[in-house]
Amino acid sequence: MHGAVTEDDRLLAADYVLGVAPAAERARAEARIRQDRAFAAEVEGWQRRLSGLDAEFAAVEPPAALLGRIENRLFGRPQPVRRGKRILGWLSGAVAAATLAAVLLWPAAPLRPIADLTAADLSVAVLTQGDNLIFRSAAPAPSARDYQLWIIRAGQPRSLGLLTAPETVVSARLEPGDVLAVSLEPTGGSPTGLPTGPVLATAEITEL
Amino acid sequence: MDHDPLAETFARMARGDRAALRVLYAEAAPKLFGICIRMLRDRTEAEDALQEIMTRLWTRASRFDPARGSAMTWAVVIARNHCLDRLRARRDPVARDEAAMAAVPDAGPSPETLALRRGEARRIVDCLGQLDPQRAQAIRSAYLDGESYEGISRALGVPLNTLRSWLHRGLKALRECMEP
Repeated sequence: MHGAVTEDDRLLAADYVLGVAPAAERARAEARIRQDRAFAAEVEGWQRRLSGLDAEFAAVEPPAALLGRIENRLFGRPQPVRRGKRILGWLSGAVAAATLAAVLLWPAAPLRPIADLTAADLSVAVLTQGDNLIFRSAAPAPSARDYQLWIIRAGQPRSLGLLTAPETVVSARLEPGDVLAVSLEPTGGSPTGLPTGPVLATAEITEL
Repeated sequence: MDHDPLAETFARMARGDRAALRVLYAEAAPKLFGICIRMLRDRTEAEDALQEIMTRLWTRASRFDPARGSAMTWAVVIARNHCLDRLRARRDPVARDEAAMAAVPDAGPSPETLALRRGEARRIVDCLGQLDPQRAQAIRSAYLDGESYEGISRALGVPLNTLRSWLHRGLKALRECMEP
């Protein structure tokens, strides 16, 4: 879409960058930015113009511990690997995955790798196939923990379920800008519906 | 364009260089945390927001394009957007966290401010100075404090639609002044 930029568009872009717009209008502007280059350029123009005010934000030293928390979240922390009876569950998961793989042999949309979620003890390949998202994981979570999958859209995390088998298939259609994440949760998953444990890996979907 | 060391840091981050994240934290986190504190007015939420912003900067580092502006400007856009999303998602405006506000030094002209009072920065200060002071103030508090149409409308006692067109006239004048 490369429509001409109307006066209303210019004002929407200005409202968006200035930040005065309510949530629904912000979402509308963000969708336009992704689809319409002329509108995106209008937004960039306002970002450039108003960036002259950035110098008025005073720096505030953040707590020193925050850097470690950010690194844990992005890269994970090397964790002692304790594997016990979880392996059994993992093996039965493998059987389920084999069945699933047989089902997937049915001619279908092409299987395409789109992201990797990797951290110290974690390596998950993410693939898409039509409206399905497929997560292939190399190893089970440490004992008494589960890996939980999340999709973060417009800043809101939504659970995609637990990674309890070598292959987990979830019905979800991605959009550019979505972020996929894996967090370490108590067995059975987050009790709150939001990530409670460290986020071990994230991957942003830039193009599909 | 001036040499932009932060742009190199983003390039390293895009290649997966974890040490570059520490450089970014040292160079940019205080500014970004200042934005979070000022806009969110809540220290705990500002800490959460900074973590999220740093995560986004890491995952989006490859999208930074030095030809289109400075790395710090780009990081500020991401930080402000995240804070605005949090603010607009709030049901009720949160009361000012006085302790957090007390931690924000006066934004008087620091050496950085003075150094930046050229180019775009100089132009916007000059052009805001030519607007009706109340309009200029509304634009400032929207950009710097994250004030919404609703908040400004309440503060000024002006109906929402009137306020919109009043502020839009200010923005048009600002644009014309900056790009004659």
